[in-house]
Amino acid sequence: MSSPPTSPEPPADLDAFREDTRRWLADACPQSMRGPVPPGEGLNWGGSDQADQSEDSRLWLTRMAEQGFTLPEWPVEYGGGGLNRAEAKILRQELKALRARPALTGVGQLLLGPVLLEVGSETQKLEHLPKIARGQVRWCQGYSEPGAGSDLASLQCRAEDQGHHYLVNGSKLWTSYADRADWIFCLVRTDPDAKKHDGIGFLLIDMKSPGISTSKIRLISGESPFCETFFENVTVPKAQMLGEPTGGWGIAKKLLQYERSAAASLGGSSAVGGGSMLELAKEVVGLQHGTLADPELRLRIAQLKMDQSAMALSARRVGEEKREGTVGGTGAILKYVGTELNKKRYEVLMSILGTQGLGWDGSEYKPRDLATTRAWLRSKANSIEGGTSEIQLNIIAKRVLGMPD
Amino acid sequence: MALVLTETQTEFRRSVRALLHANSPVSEHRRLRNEADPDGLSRKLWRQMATLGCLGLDTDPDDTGDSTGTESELGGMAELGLVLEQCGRQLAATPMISCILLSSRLLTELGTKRQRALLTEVATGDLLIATAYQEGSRHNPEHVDTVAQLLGDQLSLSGEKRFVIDGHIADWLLVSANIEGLSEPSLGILLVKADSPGVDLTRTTLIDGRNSATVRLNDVKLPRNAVLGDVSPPPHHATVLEEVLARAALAQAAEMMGIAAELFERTQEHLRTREQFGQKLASFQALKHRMAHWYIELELSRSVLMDANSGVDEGRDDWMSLAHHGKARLGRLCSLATAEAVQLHGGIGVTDESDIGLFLKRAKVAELTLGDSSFHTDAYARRLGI
Ligand SMILES: Cc1cc2nc3c(=O)[nH]c(=O)nc-3n(C[C@H](O)[C@H](O)[C@H](O)COP(=O)(O)OP(=O)(O)OC[C@H]3O[C@@H](n4cnc5c(N)ncnc54)[C@H](O)[C@@H]3O)c2cc1C
Repeated sequence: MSSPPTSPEPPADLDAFREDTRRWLADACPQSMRGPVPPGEGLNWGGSDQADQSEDSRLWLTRMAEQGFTLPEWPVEYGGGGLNRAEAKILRQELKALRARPALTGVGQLLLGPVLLEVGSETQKLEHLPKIARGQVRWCQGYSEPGAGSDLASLQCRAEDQGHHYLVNGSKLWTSYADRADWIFCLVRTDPDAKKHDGIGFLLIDMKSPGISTSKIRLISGESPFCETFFENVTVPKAQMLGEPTGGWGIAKKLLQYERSAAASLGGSSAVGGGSMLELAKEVVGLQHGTLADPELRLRIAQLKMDQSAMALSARRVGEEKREGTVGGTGAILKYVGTELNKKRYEVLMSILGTQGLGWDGSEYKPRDLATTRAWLRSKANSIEGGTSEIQLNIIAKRVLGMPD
Repeated sequence: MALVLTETQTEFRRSVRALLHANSPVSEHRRLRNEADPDGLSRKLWRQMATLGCLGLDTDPDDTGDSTGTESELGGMAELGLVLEQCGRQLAATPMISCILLSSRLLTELGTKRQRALLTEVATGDLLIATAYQEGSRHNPEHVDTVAQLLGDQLSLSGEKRFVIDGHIADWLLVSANIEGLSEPSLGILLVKADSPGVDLTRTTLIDGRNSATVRLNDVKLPRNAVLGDVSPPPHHATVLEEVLARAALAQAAEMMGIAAELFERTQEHLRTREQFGQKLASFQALKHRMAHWYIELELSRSVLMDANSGVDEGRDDWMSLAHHGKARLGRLCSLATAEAVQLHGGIGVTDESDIGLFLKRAKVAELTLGDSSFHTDAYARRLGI
């Protein structure tokens, strides 16, 4: 494994780096890419399908990618920015100061990239990482199956060794954005006779391969972001197996850690369509003798704020422990806490909105309120996707507390 | 009344269940939603419910004539609760709350004989009346900016009412307004024909696929006898309105009981069927305890609702407290029930294809209709004198 090259610039140049970065960002970031993402618009997930992205969003991605700023700490040869930690922090600060939205998001950048960097062969890294960094290829995650949800390792989708390629047959369920992705990373059964965790491979598959089809599944929030993905005699070159053909489970778990820490960050936000929850409460519920007119709701909001603060502090503590090399069990609580908190946050928001949050569509409702309501429905999935809350509690009990199965 | 159903009530529940099973399965609710049905409910079902006597349950039989065939033993909150609980289980969209619990009741309590004459057609399902009382985004019946200005024999009504349940299909509206031009200003309920000049109804589609309306009243000209009862002496409708709203909230709670119980049974069934880690989900102790806990809350709620219903029927002094308790508790039960049902179904629970989400959406509307748990806990506290 190659460690990222350190930046040639000595720390003394950090001020200059900040100056340059600030000036560059001020020029490069289109006005419409600053401030909160308005309802109805989404972040750029990269990939060949850019139809729903504005001109500005595409431009912003291209410019950021040219600098390697979509993945600032990755090595330059893989499409990254080659920045050291201090520089990357400065970049984050400057982006925040500009209220710039992320130029790129998605499972390629957040989940697969870091894992590829760690376990991929040099050829695999050179082939896939730059395309991820530039947002040219959009990835999706093929883990779950109809019979394998919480019990992921019982997956059945089969990859048979045919000499110079694999033949893949089976189906994946709940594959988010499979209909818009260019590639999929898939857990496949390579050895049906081995114990269930030992016969799994981690395969990278081009979604344009003959034999792959998707059917969309609609969510309660009305969107259709996930799919069932079918594989019928799909031929996949052997070079696209990541790691050992029966070593996929270890890689799968590594990736889940990235997924869970990304999910954990959900609960912290208190923004609603550009404003804050507190402002919304004052606007909709109103004040009486200087305090919120609904006393119970007032306490729920305060409790939520306390919980968010406890969550943020714990996340920070995990980070500091990691740097000190004294990692404890706290990291394992964050996915659970963050996602449960996000659900609670939306319940509170719905209570604040009252009946004006009950609209499905139509001109009698504000776009902000309609978007909040849809997001409330979407939040229900947070404690299911990426491993359910119950599974997180099992992990804490078993791995952290050492309790028997 | 004891906290068990009488034989007649059990028989009545059986008939309601049979009717709704046959004519209003959850798939029917889904169809109305998918087709964006302009009514958002089935008028056919409504007439069928009329035949069963459901629509005359909250009115004086003298006002509705004998046409509904309502048995004398039936006719009260207990029976209304049975009907609504069954509606909750089936997600049957009906104007039960708006037209019967609110409007029929207000007319019965306050209307003159001439005004109450409308009730005959209400009981047959041919006429729909909606009650327009809410103005902001929360349940606060005391907040009334709508004004009915008395000028000689004429009233001019202006204001804006929101979240008027079933207002989009109402033939008549009951509107709360401050009547000005009397010896003392007072709150009154006015009977307004929905197609009167100056009445503007805008249909709004809710998350549960049903409809409400925003009602804009712009200098609507009415005769002075549009006020329920009479304008002299000045009416004091505020107390009656508060009582009628509390009864309706209790009926709303009964529907929520149906939702929570149905979700419970569906979830139990799912856990008994779905396997992970080589065993039924129902065999995991963590989940057994979740279901046991949910069951406890269901049972507590049922006791409270039954007692509250009979408290109303018997005219007990504390019936308002009981109603507040009922709606407050059922709001919390539904939060628990919907959260557990979605979570324990896993991925399937957040798909539109599954019925669970339909219950979740209806439960949220019901929770916020006629006052949420916070409102009713506060009202309960007031009655405790604290
Ligand atoms: C919005 C969304 C997006 C998703 N995106 C993707 C994606 O892109 N790619 C992908 O591969 N997957 C995706 N998933 C799938 C997700 O990972 C699974 O839904 C999840 O792992 C749960 O599996 P399941 O749905 O089969 O539920 P089940 O495993 O059937 O669980 C049902 C319930 O039983 C509980 N349960 C199960 N086992 C136990 C136990 N041992 N002890 C206690 N309780 C238990 C669960 O916690 C849950 O409450 C997505 C899911 C959602 C909702």
